[in-house]
Amino acid sequence: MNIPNELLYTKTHEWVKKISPKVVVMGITDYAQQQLKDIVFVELPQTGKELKLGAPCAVVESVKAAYDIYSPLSGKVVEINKKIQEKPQLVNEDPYGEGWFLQIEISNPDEFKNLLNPVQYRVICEAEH
Amino acid sequence: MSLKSLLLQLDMVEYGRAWELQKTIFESRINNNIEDCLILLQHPPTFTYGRRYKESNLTSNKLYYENKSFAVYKTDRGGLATYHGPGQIIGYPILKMSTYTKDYYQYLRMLEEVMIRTLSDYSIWAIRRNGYTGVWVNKSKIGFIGVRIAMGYTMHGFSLNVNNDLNPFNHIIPCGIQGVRITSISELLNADVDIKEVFDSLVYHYSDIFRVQVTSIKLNTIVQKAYSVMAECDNLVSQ
Repeated sequence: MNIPNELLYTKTHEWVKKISPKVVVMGITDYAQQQLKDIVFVELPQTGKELKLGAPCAVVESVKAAYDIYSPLSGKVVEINKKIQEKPQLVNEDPYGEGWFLQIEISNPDEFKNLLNPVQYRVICEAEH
Repeated sequence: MSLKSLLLQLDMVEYGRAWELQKTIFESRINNNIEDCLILLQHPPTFTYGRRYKESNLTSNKLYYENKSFAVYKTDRGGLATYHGPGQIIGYPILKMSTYTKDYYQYLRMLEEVMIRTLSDYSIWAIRRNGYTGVWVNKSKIGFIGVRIAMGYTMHGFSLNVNNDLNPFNHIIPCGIQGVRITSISELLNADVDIKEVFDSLVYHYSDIFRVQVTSIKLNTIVQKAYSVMAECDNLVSQ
């Protein structure tokens, strides 16, 4: 199970990385992609959409099940990864790299305190197993 | 068997209404205000498709559906196009999945097993086909699955053809599988089947495979339960 040290996480298996003072990039974790196995479809919100912390922001589908993905922070979608819509398997192959989902311009930096560090996140994954 | 599950068995329910009902129970379940629940019912003629909908999954033009006055819904489940109609049993388990299995795929296998064992009560030997979720008899599909999982809770579910009209399946590409044959219990047995008995058999095997004790609940009771909780929440907000 790959849990990079430089990222922050949510209980619902999303990862977050700050790329500028106001913008983060997010995706789903290696643990999540392993659970979902062959991802065949990704539905992303439109650029400009306002996201709320903990509200559904995307959907991934594998074989016969659709899974909701939750926004790790509140803010506005400033960029979406169109590549994973054309090639959903990128999420399986490279969840922390080419398989990223969204870039979000955050509206409330205080919400960072809700995110988990890699050690806390690992505890959650191990508890689920 | 210590786990408990509610069973809401209904008759014919229009797809849109049933979907609203599912969403209400699902919300209640996520907020832990209601127990796990299996909804069983039938739908009037309806085509539904999942998020990955492609125009090519519907082989006939819109006129066919409109002339037949079939309802058409785009839903939030997984999977592609399917048909629901009278004589087909629909099961919507609304569950906290981790109570039964931590593995999404295992959950789909459990739903398949419920249908496979139900069919075996009719001496029909159904199988799984690798890579094609659902239940098959030889090369024909008889049981269908499409679910949504959010925060680890499930909705939507499975459908099993009992004695329904199979023609409408010719007007879609079921589950996106070109040229797939669809069958039903009554077609395979070449006899009429009492759908009530199939309902009972499904409940029996569901309770066995999910290891739950099933308690029937009436629609009014479950809706009151779900809504009274929501009303309480509204009160809290307004205070």
